[in-house]
Amino acid sequence: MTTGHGSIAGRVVDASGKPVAGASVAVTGSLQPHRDIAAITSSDGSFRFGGMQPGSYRLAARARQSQQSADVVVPANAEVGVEIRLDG
Amino acid sequence: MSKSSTKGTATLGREGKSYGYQSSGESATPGAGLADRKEQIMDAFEKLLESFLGGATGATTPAGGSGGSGSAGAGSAVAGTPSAGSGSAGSASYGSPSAGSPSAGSAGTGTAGSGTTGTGTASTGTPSTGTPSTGTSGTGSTAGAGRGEASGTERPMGEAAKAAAAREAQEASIFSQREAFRMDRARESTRKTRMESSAGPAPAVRDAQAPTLKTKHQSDSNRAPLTASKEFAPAFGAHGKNGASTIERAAPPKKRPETVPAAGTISAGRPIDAYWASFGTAVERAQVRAKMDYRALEVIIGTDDRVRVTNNTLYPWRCICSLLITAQNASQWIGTGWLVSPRVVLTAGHCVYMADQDGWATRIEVIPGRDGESRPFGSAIATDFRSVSGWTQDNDSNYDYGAILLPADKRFGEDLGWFGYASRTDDYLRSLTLNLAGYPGDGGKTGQDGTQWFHSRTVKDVLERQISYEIDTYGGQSGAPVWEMASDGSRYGVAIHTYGTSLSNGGTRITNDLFDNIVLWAGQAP
Repeated sequence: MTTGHGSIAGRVVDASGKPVAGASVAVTGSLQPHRDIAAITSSDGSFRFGGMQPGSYRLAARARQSQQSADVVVPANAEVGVEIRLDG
Repeated sequence: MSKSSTKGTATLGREGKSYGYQSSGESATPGAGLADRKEQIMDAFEKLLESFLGGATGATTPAGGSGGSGSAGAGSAVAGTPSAGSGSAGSASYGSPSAGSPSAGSAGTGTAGSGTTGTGTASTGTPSTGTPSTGTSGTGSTAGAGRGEASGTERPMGEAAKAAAAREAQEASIFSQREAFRMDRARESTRKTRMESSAGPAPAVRDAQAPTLKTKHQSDSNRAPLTASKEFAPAFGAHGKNGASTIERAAPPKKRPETVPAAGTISAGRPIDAYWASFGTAVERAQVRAKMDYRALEVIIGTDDRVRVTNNTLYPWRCICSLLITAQNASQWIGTGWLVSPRVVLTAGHCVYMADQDGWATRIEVIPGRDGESRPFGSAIATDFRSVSGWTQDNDSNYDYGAILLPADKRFGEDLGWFGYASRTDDYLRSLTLNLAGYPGDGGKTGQDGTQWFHSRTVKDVLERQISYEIDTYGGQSGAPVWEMASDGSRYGVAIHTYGTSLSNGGTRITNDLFDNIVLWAGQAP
């Protein structure tokens, strides 16, 4: 981890709480610059963004025409967890 | 009495920090009795130091260390200090560790020890906290203190020493990054020297499994100020040129610079830290406007007026590629790239190398002209990638670019054509309307995966190595081409899209050296 940077480790689940594989997750809002690359969740619905400047971010997860957002605050030199639950 | 080595000229450690060796034994000695007592005191002090450092002292001669400079000392762990002569420190002194070998290789001065030491900590992405910085303890010039022992003999350290060294290294790293930008031009000649003496790419610990690793690193001298404008003409491939575009915005009729602008007429640009400082101010203003609700700000800036590309088989859209990336740790990602030669796809550095995902991608599926589920020209699985040390070793966003070399039997560009690309002067760029198209992870306004979306806006800001714009983008468009369309219909990429914020988005500017690297990589994949 780059000094001072943090990371986001998350999971995308469906309305029943089951992990969603193959969902795309991207940062859609931040005042800090972030890489404009989208993650694809793995078989357990997980994803991870590293090397992020500390600050507030909005994430959006999409799968099967369903989309949901979540706001997280990335701390310095630490990881924050988030679960994004898709509707439907 | 002292076991320390030669006194010396400041030697550049891995972080470019100076540390000197003082031979306390060279201190003057008074009368015998006092001399004996003094020696006893020094012996006791040495033993105390040894216990603190967790190992024997007795530094050997600093390796290489031709940095020889007071400037190195003043450089405070700066990339600038390497320019004092030790190229190895150049790569190391950002405090972002190389895995060690590049510094070793490029030093050419036997700093293998430093490099090796760097490897141990480099892999964690944290600044090297090896012995040199500890030895210095910020007081390299203090007699008896600047042991360094950075010549290659690694010494175990006590926990307290490690923590102190880590703190020191972190502070030095932050400062060194700022200093690095201000010393940019002074390093140019040194970096060229380093390139010449470099043994080439060196394997990082975490890249040990990559069979083609040694061809993946491309040293970068991309620190020269833009003093000339270069162009590489586009090609239309076997599919030929098509009619006029209906959605792109052409640059206003403008006389292309016929002569190389004289040095000094080129804007020096602001250091990136100054840019973010001003950005911070803009952020504050934006927060006030938004009543502190930052969440109202999205990377889609204002109204979402992106346009879906539907003629994906036409030029230039067919030259824009959807990327399905498998990282070193098996995580998967969406990105964008664009053809710049028959077999080279230009993209963001973080599409081919992600330090936080264990390094180099293992494979990337390249799909030119993709339109949803349609793959009109098929796809290629690529495993050969390129980037620059400024990205892979230093994680410097100014060097966030890379390339994908397609397999020899996948010469997409021959049929589809490729983008031209150009390095432009500051003034020229500021006058441009920029076009950008790529593959957003949200599927654009229709939400259909794998569709290509386009947007166009004027330039917002031009920095030495980045361009910002208010073009709407979304995660997945990293690596997208940012191009100007001349009045004659020629398209020239001028930047590679890499990042987004809620206020503006931006990319890595094609400077002269980036331009040269594209040409170089294209030559490696004829």
